[in-house]
Order: sequence, then structure tokens, then C-alpha cells
Amino acid sequence: MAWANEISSCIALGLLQGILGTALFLTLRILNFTDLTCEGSFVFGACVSSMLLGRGYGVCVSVATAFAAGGVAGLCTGVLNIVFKVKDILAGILVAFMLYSINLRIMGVPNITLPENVAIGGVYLFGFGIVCILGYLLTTDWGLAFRSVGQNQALAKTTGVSVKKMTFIGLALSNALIGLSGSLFSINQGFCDIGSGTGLLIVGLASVIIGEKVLPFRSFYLKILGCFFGSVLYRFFICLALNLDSSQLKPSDVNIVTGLLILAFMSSKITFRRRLTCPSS
Amino acid sequence: MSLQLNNVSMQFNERKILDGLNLSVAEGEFVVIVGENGAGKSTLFNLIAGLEKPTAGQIVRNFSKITRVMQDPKAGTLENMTIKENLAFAYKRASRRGWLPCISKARLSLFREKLTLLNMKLENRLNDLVENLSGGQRQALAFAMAILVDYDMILLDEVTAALNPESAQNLMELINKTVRDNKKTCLMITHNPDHKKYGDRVLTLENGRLLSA
Repeated sequence: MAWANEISSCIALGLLQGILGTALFLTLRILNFTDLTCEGSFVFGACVSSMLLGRGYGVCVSVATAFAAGGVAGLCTGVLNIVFKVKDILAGILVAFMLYSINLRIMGVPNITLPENVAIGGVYLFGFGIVCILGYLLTTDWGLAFRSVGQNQALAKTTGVSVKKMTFIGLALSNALIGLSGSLFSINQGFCDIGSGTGLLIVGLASVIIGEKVLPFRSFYLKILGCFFGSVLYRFFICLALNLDSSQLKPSDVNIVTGLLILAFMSSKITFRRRLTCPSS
Repeated sequence: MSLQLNNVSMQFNERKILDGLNLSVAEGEFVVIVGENGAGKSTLFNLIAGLEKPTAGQIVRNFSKITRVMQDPKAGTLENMTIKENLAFAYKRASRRGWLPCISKARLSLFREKLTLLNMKLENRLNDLVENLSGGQRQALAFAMAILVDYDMILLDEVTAALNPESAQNLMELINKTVRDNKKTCLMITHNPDHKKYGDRVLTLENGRLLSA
């Protein structure tokens, strides 16, 4: 019974963090923008929704506001990068750094407990909606232009694509999804903590890498699904490692387990990509 | 005249790249431009394409649609996309990109038709990633992308520089045939003396001015 609970917990957390993985897939893989805002925007989303829930607002309003708040954080990174010409990595770090103070201002205290009985069952349907909408968007004419920005900015510019606009949209959308993920995560856990964003970049990265290895297909629907699948699988691996009596691992060993897991997947040859992309003729 | 440059100058910091340059290109004319490295040939193309503004002088463009093929085959294509996605990307050049799927039956048949002109059997490899193509095939694809939608003038910036002699020759024959058959205006920069023969006129860019070769 304890294992059944662990499994359901892994799936729930995995799906919630799959949204984070999808967001990182958008910036790191599609837009080719090393956005480190995520650790700030995740907590920003969690703080905003927690405060609204604490003040009696409904889940939908709280989650939607967290989504918008994350988007604003992404836009700030975009402004630093595009308007003030700050390098992508530094722009993200700066925004995440500043968000720490803003998050503390919002909450007033380092952590707060959320009201009980907040149902987020609809989140799974929402996750499915994200896969469908993003998967479709990336295969449209607009999606091609968006993808071109990450691959060849010079060509994108000469073909009439606004690189700046696309970068803004990508960062806003990605961080909005991260804010949403943070919001749902805090609701699921029943509390919001100022330090809950620490190490999340690695968790998101693990989701993307595991997803790409396990579902190495070209379809964007499957790539995004892979982020969710990778996230759930990552949770399973961590849970398995920490719960196996023979492993002698403690919860504090989660970082080294995560790091080794990412390295193992990155160096593994379990990919069918080459076979799938070979010339047919 | 399709294009006219009157006393055009271009200066970067203290360095004058173009100095009172004059050029007239008639509609349907094929002009070859040669010159040393750093002579300002690519800058001249950037000015003609409207990507940069001259520091002095006037550029009169009597055409609306211009297209360009770059020197590096990688620069003209999106290597992590398939051939059909590259063509779909080029298909919407300078026009509004909507929310409809980028690949449709009508578009696929147009792509096949254009790729058949290349004579490289790429029309059977629409689902292949561009990263799997050779340099020559990539440059040919870049050319197909450039001519996919209607254009008035094409700028070719050392398009054969990265190709082996055989691929370069094939691509030049293809370009020459396509441009002549469709009576399009073409400006080509080249370092290859064998390719001067394709032009109606050959001009040398020297000391910031164009001289007849």
C-alpha cells in the first residue's frame, strides 16, 4: 500500500514538473536560449497563487494569475537580454536573483501553509491540453518561424521573422508555464516555501533529457509528451533509489542521484534517432 | 533600370568601404561582381537588400521582391529541420505567418516541383533532415528556398565558395538556367574566374568603386 502511494505521488509530481520540463524544452531546445529564470519564476508562481488562495480566491484565478506572473518574469529576462543586451545566462540569473526578494515581499515570511482541500484534479487534463496546443503550434507556419529563431537567427531575420518578438514570446510562454508549474506544485504539496525553486533547473533538464532518450521522435507532440514522461520517469528513479533499503541512500543524496541519472542518460546510446532520420533513398 | 546606385558611400568608423559608387542594372540582366576579400562586396549586397543604409548617396530600387543566397550552405538553411520544413519556412518569406499547419498537399506538390528542377533527387527526400545533406545539396536547397516564391532580383553571394568544383559547376548551370529562363535580374559575387562567363557584365570592386573588368 505504501508503494502504491509512492507511485501515485511520483506520477502526480512528475506530471506537475513535466510542465516545467516542457517550458525548459521551449527555451533550451527550441529557442536555444539558456534561460535560468526558472528557479525564480517557479517560486514566483507558487507565491502569487498561495497568497491568492490564502485570501480566499478560487484555484482557477490563483493558477491563472501565477501563469501571468511567470510570463512577466520571462518578459523581464527578455527586456534585459534584448533591450539592455545582457547575455542570456546572466539575464536569467539576475531576474531569478531579484525575484527572491520579490517573493519574500509577497509572502512576508519564508514559507506559508495553504488552505486544505484544494482540488487540482483538472491539472492532468490541462497538461494534456498543453501537449496538444504546443505540439500543434510548433507545426504551424508561426511555429516554423519560432523554431527558426533558435536555429539560424540570420536566416530568420532575412526571411522576415522578428527575432526579438519571437524571443519575447518564447521567454514569456516558457516562464508562464514554469509559474503555473510552481503554483500547482505548491497546491499539491500544501505549502509554499521560498527555497522550493532550488535545483529545479536540473530537474527540468533531467525531464527533457530522459524524455528525449526514451521518446526520440521528431513529432513535437511526442517531444512534449516526452518531457512529461521523462519527468515521471525521473521521479520514479529518484523514489526507487531513495526507497531501496539496499541502496543505503538518504534523502540528502538526491542531488548526486539526480546528477548521475542525467549523466547516465546523456551518455547512453539508447536512441533510435539516427535510424529514424536516415535517408529513405 | 531595375536598380540604380548613385554616388553611394559606406563608412564603418574611420574606414571607407564604398566611396561614391555608381551602378545601374537593367531588368533581366546578370551582373557578376569580383573583388579582393574585404573590398566591400557583401556590404554592397547588404545595401541593395536594404539590410543597411548608405552613409551617403542614393539607391533606387524599381523592384519589390528581392531574394538572396549566402556563401555558407549552413547559413541559408535550417539544419535541424526537414527539407519540406525548410521549404515551408521559405514559402512564407516576408508574409504573415498564420496558425495553419506548415505542410499541406498543395505545398508538398509545389516543393516537389521546385526540387525536381535541382536534378538532385531531393524531391524523394522531403522528410530528411537537412543536416544529412551534403554541402552541394544544401546549397542547392538554399537556392530552391530563395526562388520558391516570386522574386524580381536575386543576389548570389559567393554561392559556390564552399563547394567542390563539380558541385559548383552543377549549381552554376542550374542558377544560370533558372535565372535566364525566368528573365530575372541577378547580381552575383564570385572569386571563381570560371564563373565570370555566366554574367552579361563583369565588374570589379576596387577602392570602393565598381570598374568594368
